Amino acid sequence: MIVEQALLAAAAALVVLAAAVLYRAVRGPTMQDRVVAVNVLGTNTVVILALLSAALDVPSFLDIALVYALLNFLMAVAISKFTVDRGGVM
Amino acid sequence: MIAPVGYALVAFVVAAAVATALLRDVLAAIILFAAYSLGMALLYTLLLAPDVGLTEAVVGAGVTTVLLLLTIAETVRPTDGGALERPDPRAAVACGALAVVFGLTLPDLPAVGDPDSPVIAYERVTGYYLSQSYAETGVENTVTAVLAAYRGFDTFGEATVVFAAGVAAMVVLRREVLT
Amino acid sequence: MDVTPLEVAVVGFLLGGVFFTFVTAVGVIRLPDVYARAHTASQTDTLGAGLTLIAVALVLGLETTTVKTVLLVAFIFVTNPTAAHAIARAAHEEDIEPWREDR
Repeated sequence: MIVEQALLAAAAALVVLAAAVLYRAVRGPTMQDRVVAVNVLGTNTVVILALLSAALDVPSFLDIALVYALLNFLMAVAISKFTVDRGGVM
Repeated sequence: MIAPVGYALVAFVVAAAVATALLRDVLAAIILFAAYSLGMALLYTLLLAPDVGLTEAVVGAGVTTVLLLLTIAETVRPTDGGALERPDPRAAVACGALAVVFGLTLPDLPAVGDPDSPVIAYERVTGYYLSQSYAETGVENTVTAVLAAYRGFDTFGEATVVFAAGVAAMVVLRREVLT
Repeated sequence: MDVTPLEVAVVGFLLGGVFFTFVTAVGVIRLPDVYARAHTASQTDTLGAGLTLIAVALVLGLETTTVKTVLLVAFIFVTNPTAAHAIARAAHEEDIEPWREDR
């Protein structure tokens, strides 16, 4: 019981921290700053999904977390590549 | 204990959506939209719709970002006039009014998992699928049984449309790259 | 109320993970330029995610789903620093000057 409470509390704390990091994504000033911020947000999302999976006892959430971990990396690399040579995403 | 996570997520999603709408730079808006999509996927998952969360993850954060990047590759980004858009007051009022109208319908929705909600209370349809779907189709998840077995041809048609759209997008992009 | 050693370990790892994620948030918001922010994103965020996922793995115990947690830790340990490197390199190729104290 105490473990579930601790997991959910950690998830809530991570969501609040994600909202704080959103400030950097809005503020910039460079595009890379925003990508760094969204990358941190993505990692947070993966961890929150894993926490919810353990707290609510739904193992299938971990599959979503896995998909997200890979997509997050793809997104960061795609935007980085795009800002260097415009349009060279594919 | 799960409520604080939900409230924090809603605040995060609203903040990301407002930032996406207000940012002048299109590329920045795309990045912020990815953040919005992360929050939405978490929210869907928190409401125990992991399949929708998974779709939102793949479409919102992955496919949309790459497609939008490909789209803006040929356009010009604004370099002057500050980071934030100056919203048109009339448009802002119209959007606000629409949000209020939609918000007024919210109290009439049944609570999550409410046993008296019309879908569950109308025993003849819901009860039939809940009790018979496993015996008739052998699929354990009722939603999956309806999607893939009872209305399998519809789902097949939808999958064909999505596949055709993907192939068409790839053909167009390939032609753009070659010329 | 009695507390098992496992619960103590879980809460400890969770506290460590949240602490390092907090450090990441502070770093991403407060550090002066994109290179410094990329470094905090790759190091402290990887550690924070790793510790929190260890806590999740401890809660799940020895099951097949725990393998997914281990996979997640492995993915994050590989992809996070790589992404930060790609971002920092993109910043460098866009000729963004690193921040210096004397300017």
